[in-house]
Amino acid sequence: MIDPRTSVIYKRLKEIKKIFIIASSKGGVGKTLISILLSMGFRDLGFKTGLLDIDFTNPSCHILFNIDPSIKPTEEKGLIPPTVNGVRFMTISYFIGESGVALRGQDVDNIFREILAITRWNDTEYLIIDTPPGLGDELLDLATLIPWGEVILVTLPNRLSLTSIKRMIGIFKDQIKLIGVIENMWRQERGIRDIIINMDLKYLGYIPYVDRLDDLIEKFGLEGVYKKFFSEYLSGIISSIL
Amino acid sequence: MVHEWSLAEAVLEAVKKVAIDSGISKINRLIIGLGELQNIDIELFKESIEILKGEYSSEIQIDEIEFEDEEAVFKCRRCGEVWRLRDVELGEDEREAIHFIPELLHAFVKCPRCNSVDYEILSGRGVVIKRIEGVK
Ligand SMILES: Nc1ncnc2c1ncn2[C@@H]1O[C@H](COP(=O)(O)OP(=O)(O)OP(=O)(O)O)[C@@H](O)[C@H]1O
Ligand SMILES: [Mg+2]
Ligand SMILES: [Zn+2]
Repeated sequence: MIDPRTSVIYKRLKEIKKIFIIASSKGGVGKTLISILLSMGFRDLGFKTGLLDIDFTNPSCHILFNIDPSIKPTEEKGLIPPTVNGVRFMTISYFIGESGVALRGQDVDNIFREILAITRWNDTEYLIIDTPPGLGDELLDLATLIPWGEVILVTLPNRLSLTSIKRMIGIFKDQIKLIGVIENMWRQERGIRDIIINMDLKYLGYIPYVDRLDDLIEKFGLEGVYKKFFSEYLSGIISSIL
Repeated sequence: MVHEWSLAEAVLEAVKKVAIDSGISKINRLIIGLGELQNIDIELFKESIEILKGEYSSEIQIDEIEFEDEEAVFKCRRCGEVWRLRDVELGEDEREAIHFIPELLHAFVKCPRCNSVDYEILSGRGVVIKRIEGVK
């Protein structure tokens, strides 16, 4: 028995200039926020940008994008992701809404393969993938199915998060293409830049801590908050990974 | 063209790879399994395969293609119950979700005996290549 999806996945993704995988072994460090910000940053540079949420048990990009539940992918020789905030965005939330889905590793693997096999990114130039926390099946799948994908780790400026990054590097350094680290919730002059560089990793830049961020997004909208607090920090990060 | 096209393309891409890897350029018989769970439109799928067969003809020739339906069977990991699709109810939107991504069944359906969400899809999930019979 042959799984027909494996070969076509390469065909679906090969025209994309670069695929960035946003990861961290610790939860809640800002992977989803940074995935969204990066996609908007690439968009603002005029690139055709895609965003794929592969946190299947807890998808959340659509919540930040505040997506209208009636939006669905277009069926055209596969599925074409809807354009949301100027970004071509794919998630399983289009199909399951806010209902949860408990999955074993085998199911995660299958969902991932299916999405990659049927989604048509067409002339997308940069694709950003938001991953769930941990060292789980999604990352192993990424290493297998998109070995040329470039992994960006997200960390907070604290010991716990850094320890977790170290662990992750220990496991994945020769399995994936690790291109650097983004420091999130940066608050002070001396962040963790030197520590990252001492770990032989590229420090890609930081995103500042914004007090009561979720409230601000609710009040001013994602675009408003992005422009006021984040966009200036993104250009440096993006120019170092382009 | 519907999403069946992308699955047909996947089949031809995979067959092409097998052919290249094993130095075959002509295939006598290709047997494709169609899982009940994914519920693809067989006519549209066949039509897509026929069109794509033409597009791939410079790389690989396929004489005969057979389709075999496979019943979807599930097994509960908690209570061991083995059950089938007809044992559960699904709405229109749920069917469509499963049509695109079969594992999303887990979001809608529980084991009919013990209500667990921890069950396995034993067979009949989606499109598979069951056999390729070729000549050098
Ligand atoms: N720079 C920041 N300033 C203030 N709050 C932030 C910042 N980045 C993230 N947050 C907040 O932290 C919380 C977690 O962020 P997010 O969901 O992006 O993390 P995550 O790594 O994707 O989490 P998970 O591991 O659960 O997927 C959210 O409430 C978010 O608003
Ligand atoms: Mg997240
Ligand atoms: Zn059961």
